[in-house]
Amino acid sequence: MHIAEGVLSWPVLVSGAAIATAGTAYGIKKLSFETIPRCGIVSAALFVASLIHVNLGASSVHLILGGLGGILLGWSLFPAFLVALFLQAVLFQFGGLVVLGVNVTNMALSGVLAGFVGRALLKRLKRPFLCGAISGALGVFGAAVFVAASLAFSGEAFRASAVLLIGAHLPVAIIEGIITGFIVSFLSKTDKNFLEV
Amino acid sequence: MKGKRLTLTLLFCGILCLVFLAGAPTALAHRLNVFALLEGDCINGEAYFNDGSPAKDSKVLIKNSTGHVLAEGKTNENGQFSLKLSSPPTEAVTVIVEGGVGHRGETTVESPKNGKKLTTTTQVGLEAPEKTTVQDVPSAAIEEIIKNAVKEEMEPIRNELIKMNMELSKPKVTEILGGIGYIVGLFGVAFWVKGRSKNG
Repeated sequence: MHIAEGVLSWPVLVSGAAIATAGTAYGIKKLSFETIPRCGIVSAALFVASLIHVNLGASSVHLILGGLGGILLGWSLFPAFLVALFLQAVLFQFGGLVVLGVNVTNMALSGVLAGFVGRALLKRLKRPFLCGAISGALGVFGAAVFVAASLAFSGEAFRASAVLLIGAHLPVAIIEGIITGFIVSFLSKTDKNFLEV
Repeated sequence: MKGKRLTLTLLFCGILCLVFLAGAPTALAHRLNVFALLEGDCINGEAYFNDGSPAKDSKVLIKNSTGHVLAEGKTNENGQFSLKLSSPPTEAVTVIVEGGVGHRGETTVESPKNGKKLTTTTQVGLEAPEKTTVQDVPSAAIEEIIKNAVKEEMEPIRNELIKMNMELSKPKVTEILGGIGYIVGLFGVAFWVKGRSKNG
């Protein structure tokens, strides 16, 4: 869901860059010795995840892992996404440097919000798989809605692109929900305190 | 009971997924590549996503350097397009393909700078051997025949070029590993800075 250069209007680009900067600054401030390696691993996973395309029927999909990153990192997901998307833009020309702020905001903010939901659920429910799955799927849908919103503010019809994006990402949301569920239930078995940082 | 409910939910999701897949028209990729060639006063080309799938039914725009739209059209189901310009371009033109939902790709097509001179020289060359049968055939027709022959001969090379472009636009293992290396290094730097501020 990288938005290409030259699609968005200036106000969207500027506000995206502003939110990304603020989020990244706050995320870096919150980093601790315990979360730096975690942030690095998540960043590497984000960087690689979108390179692996799986052909599913008519479209080809890839994982986003925003919800998982949100559960693991909270606000520190912003620097992780910034690094991953910056490298993708420079090395593969996915997206671009001008739209980097918007892309980071769309992906990271939806991931952070989905992560908060996941964390809140995990504290109440004793069903880590379910909580992880909800968070993972929410992250994908959130990203789709954010992308549709950025396109809408640049002149494209919101409803049409939102329906198209959410529809096309439904399989991704399901797969990502299952994967996030497995990872979260694995983590909650092996490291009970993984939410405490 | 719980297991049953889960199976039902999964089944429902699976069906929904299939329904949406059947109707999902666009491939969601990261980059839209455009490949275009100038042939006479036509611009022919292809648009495809970085995973190799064609950009179907996408809007194609041809603009000159001042942003004036020279031609407009759509790609077919194989991602190919062919747009006719009102006259052969005298300057480089930009071909823009809009794939919808944030996908956009563009490429620049250089115009043959000495294009006009070339045609005149061929015409001179044709007129030179006077009193031959060549003279009876109008030069425009000869030009057309030559153009078609060259086009036919060039077709495999053109396809090969598109294929090569497609291969080149895919991420390479070295780049991926390099990117991971950058990430490791960056977070190493973060550690270092954090450690220094703690000790100092």
